[in-house]
Amino acid sequence: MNSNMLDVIVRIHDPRRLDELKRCVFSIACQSYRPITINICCQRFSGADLEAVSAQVATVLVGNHDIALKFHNFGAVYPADARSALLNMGVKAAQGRHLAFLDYDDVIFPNAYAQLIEDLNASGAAISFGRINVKHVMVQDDYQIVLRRERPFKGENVVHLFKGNFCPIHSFVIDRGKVDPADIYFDQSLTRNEDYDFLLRFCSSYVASFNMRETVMGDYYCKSDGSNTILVQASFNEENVAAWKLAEDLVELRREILYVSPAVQRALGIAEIDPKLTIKRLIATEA
Amino acid sequence: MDFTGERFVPGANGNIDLEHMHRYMHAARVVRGKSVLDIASGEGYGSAILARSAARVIGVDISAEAVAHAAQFYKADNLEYFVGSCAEIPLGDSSVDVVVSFETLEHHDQHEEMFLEIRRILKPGGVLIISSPDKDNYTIKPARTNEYHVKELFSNEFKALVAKHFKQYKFLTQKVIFGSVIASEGACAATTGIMKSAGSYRESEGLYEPLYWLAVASDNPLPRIESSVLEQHIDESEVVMEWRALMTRRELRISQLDESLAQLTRDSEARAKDLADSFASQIADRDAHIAWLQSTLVREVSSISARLRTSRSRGATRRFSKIVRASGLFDREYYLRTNEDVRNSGLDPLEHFIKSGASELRNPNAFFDYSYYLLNNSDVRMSGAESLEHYINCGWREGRQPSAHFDVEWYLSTYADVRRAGIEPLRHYLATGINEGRIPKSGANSITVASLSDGDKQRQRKSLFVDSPSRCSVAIGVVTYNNPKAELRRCLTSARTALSHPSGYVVRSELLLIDHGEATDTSLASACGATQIRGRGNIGFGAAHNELMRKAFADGFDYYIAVNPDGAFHPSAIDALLQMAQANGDKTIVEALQFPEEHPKVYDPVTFDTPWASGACMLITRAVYEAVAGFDERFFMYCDDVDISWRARAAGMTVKTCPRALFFHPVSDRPFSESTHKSFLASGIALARKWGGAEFESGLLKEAKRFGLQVEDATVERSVPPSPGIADFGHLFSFAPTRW
Repeated sequence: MNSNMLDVIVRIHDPRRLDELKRCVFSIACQSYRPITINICCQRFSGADLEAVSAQVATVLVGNHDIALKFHNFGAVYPADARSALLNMGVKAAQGRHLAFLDYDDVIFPNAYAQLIEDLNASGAAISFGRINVKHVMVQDDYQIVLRRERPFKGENVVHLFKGNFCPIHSFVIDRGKVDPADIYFDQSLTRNEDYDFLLRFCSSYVASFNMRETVMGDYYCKSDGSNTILVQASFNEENVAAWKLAEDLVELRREILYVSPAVQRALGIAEIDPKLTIKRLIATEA
Repeated sequence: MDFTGERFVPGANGNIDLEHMHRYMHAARVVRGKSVLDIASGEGYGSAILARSAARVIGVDISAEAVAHAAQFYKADNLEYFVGSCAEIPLGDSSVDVVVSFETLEHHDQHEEMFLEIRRILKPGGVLIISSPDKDNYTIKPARTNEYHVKELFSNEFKALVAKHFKQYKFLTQKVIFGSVIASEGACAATTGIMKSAGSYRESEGLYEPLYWLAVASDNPLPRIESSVLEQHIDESEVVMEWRALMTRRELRISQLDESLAQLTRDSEARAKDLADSFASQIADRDAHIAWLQSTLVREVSSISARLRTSRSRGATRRFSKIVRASGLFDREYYLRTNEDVRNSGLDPLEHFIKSGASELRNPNAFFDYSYYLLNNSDVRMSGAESLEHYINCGWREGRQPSAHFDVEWYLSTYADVRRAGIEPLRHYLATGINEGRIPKSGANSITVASLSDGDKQRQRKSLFVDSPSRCSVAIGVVTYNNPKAELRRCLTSARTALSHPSGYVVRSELLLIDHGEATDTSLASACGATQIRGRGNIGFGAAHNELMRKAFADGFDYYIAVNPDGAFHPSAIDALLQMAQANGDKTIVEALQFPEEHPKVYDPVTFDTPWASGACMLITRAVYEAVAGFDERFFMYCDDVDISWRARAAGMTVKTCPRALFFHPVSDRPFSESTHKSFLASGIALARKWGGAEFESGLLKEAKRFGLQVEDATVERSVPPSPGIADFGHLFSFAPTRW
């Protein structure tokens, strides 16, 4: 494991979203933290698409000799929606000590990784969270118009996180040197809430730092064309609503079966450690 | 071994257990100290019981499985098991004292052979203890059959068989009964009492723990006293009768509960049906009422429309025309889009609306709905007043909603600046609110912006792209001030990459570098292909760029792009800037979007017009340079980009934001710096004096005084003619409305 390296896992499912991917990689190119390896995980790109995309993305990194670019293509037939499988593929390829995730259509601010890694080193936590803006955008052909900016994700600590997800997937960095590698995985049966499912599992086992919660680390682009996974007006159909309901039910099941580790309980100031304390009970007692 | 019915297995409780165990326990008293054969030993339990008192027990069974099981589970030094049949017993002649054979005879038909074998192996004077079911009482009277029984014997047949082979014999009978037993007590008792409790057996002389005692007494020899049994069918026993009574009560209770449940189910179904019927009836009534209201509305609207058409005087029309023109509420594009006949006629849409459209209740924009306004304002409807005129004159002040899509009260309460300005809210929304990302009512999306018409999309394209970009030359100017090498290298390298992106139409390009502070390492400049222009020290942002611009345009470059040295180009940025400049006739300043945090000031989502362009990365065309002569060098730093933008607009040029061009510009919270703040204030004051922002200037002077900052008297005086709609001092240092 390279102790300085930061691996950023970028997942993308559609080669036509190249402009957004380039914007995403541009934001990584502007990072103050180095060295970085960008692992771009593609969902079933053809050989020609892979070649075209990699050539275009490489132009964004010209002159950035301490940023490596790697492409990984998920070719299996199953699962059809491979969003979780893409993340797992990236995690498997990662070799650096620190790990971050960034979706192709989101952006990370220039000092984000440096600040989060510094906090990981200072706090001893296994995962450090910052805040994410939401930019509501109108999607055009190869650009977007930002209509307004919000800061809706509100939360202060891990108990708030257990109650509801306020941490988008690019709001945190993980220190892999402090965790069991087997614990960094995404449930491949989930096509929604796969990141929150991961955070519930991870943060119930390992201590999280929210010291950087007031510092904005990046943007989440909420698009008017419904291409976000979240429910926006353009994606509000019966099928999506039913799928979200199922995802929420599965999250609730996680809360009922996951135990909060003694380390996390100690970090929360719980005096009498209960090895059978579930997330659900913790939330109830902290309410 | 599992109980199949073929042979008894301990644990198969009930009568069969009593019968089998009793026999062996009874026989155990006879075999004490003797050698015993247990023929058809089965599971082996019986042989084991006999072995507790016998000297030696041999169990023989025809089933190898049974023998193996018995040998495994019943182990004793004096106990053995062998495989063998009743007709061929694997023992030598005269080898045992006792033969025990329980419930064996009926399982085969070789009775004679069996008895002969028994006689053979019994020692002289040996004893046979044998049992057999009474065919009459076991099978015939109860009308049942046991599939494992091959040949059952009647009592006389059994007795005859025994008597045939033995000189001495005594017969006993057995059955499981419920009843009263009177038996002798003590050593003379002819009865042994055995109590089975919790799987164990306890024996006693006479009955085990009898409840009653009887005595027969006399001074003479007592008569023969026999034991007796008074039997009763078990169904008539107290226990069974109590259980039967309990069952009866329980069944009655269950029946009552079933009936209650059925009744409740019927009641709830009836209730649900009643409710459904009631709701259906209410809905039908409601639908009928709505239909009546709609037809009434249609009649009234038609009537009003007819009245308006006939009754509006010329004066009223003139007044209405004036009001509508001044209101800002007429949307030409919307009107043409929603009124095909007007579109096809070629008539001026506003004229049409004033002369006839309004009285035909055609809506003037997407957020004012005549039908809605009339439906919800009966006084307006009844008075025959013109709805739009009413709304403009007083309706909005009274909080009346122009349509279901716009909430006047919410808009004014949410956007305090609009409320303070006293502007009619719908006018504000249509004019600027939409572009600022404001929403028309709680929970709405920016629906108007998000759903551009086809015409809007075409205009967007025309403002961003040219089909065939003209060949051109570009100079990029960088003004440094002690920038770290890595930062400068990033900027210059990104510029080179971005210059190579336009596909062939940039025929000449140059990177121009001028140092405000320390001189840039020439090797770095050279490695990045930049031309260093000798600096004159820290002369100010605008002055330094003017030096570069003068040279660039003198050298024949078509475009000049001013960039900050701490930033970096996205590879497509320069191509996007150039295309936009050419698409707008090269009479424009075009700014790149600062990335990742763009400036929140507004820009038109169709034309991309913006109040001013940021100097972090701005393209200036030759035409603009010639019109405005570059930056005003009286601004040392800050506000010079605002000033040049306003001057360009005042000269009839445009200023645009190019959302396709991204320029990385790190904007972070810096600690307060007195010198930076002073520069801001000084530049702001200069801008205000130049453009007539007296109130803004006054505010800044107070700010300067509050901080104890000495701001030199500005050298800038009012020098720009009044430029309504250009200079904007209403939004502090944003100098423009902002989206957030």
